[in-house]
Amino acid sequence: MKELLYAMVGELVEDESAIEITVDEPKEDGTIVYHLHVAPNDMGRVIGKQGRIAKAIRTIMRAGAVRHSEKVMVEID
Amino acid sequence: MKNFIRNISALSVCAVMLLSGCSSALESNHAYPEGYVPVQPVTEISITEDTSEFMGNTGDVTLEKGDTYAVIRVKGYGDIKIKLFPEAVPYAVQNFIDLANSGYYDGKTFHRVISDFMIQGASLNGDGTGGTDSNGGEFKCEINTKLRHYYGALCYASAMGSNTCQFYIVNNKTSVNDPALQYQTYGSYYASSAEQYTEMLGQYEEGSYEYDLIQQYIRYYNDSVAGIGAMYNTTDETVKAKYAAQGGVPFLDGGYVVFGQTVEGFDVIDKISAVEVASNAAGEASSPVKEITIEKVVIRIVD
Repeated sequence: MKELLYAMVGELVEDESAIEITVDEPKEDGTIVYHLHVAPNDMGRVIGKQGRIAKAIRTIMRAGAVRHSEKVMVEID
Repeated sequence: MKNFIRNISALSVCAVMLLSGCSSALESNHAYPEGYVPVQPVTEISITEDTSEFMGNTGDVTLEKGDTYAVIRVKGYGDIKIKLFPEAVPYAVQNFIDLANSGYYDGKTFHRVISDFMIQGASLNGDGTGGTDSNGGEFKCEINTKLRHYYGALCYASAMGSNTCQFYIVNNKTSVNDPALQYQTYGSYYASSAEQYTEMLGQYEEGSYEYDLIQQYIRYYNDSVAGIGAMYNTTDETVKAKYAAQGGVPFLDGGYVVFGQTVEGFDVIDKISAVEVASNAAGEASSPVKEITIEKVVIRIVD
């Protein structure tokens, strides 16, 4: 799942080396929160107009998580 | 060195205190002036679209008689002198002064240094974790639209809108041309996030861990929309000119508490910003190779 997120974001940003994904310990009900950090200058690219890209990233991650029987959330911060 | 009040909000009550001997109380370094009632922690986000004459750090920032400032002594780097804004963000400033006077900041470090962004420090464990506010808890954001993330701004680091003791100083001095565009981009991101989480909420059982977590996110994003929206609404030519001249990080406005502005020691900020960094535990290249230590934070009032 982390690889999926990395692959998506890698296509969007200019500074790929600044991508950082941290994963919280699973919560008691199994929810996993992925925290995505990118270079400040790339934030706009990951968020997109009206937040559309960020929304799409979350949707794809949740779809992927179903396959792995996981519950995930993605926070860009 | 003159002693200074422990709590800056004493300034705002000073007028009242004049009747009962404010000046002697000011000599006390570790006690509130007699009769002084501390400001209560901020428990809900507070947003002020400030249309008064107060210019915060959006105008020229100078130290005048009666102004309060902090000196952050950084071992081997020098002093950063920062004007504080107690009238605009009373709890944020009170908290900083209380922590400084309690000695909390002595020996803490700057653990996160990112050039053209900010330098962050003063966490309890030295790695961005731990610590409380001066009341042993945390507080929500106190936002005033005249206080923004220009180069040299002093601000609270925060997790999901909750603040404690960690602070950061903005180090980006590259001119920013269009702060309003950043507010729009981030504002719409926060709004769409709130919307997305609200849609998700129905899929989870009320009272479940995930349900509560999603509710926290919804609240946080709605607060962020309100904060950055206020910044957007009040972005005028003065704000644009200031960001163009001084640089800064506009997209943090409205989501983080700005409570001070550097007046001297920009060279110290620049020197810290230029240190060699290694990857931290999360893989972010921001961890200073050589420890950067805060010797002390001293609070003073201009005589």
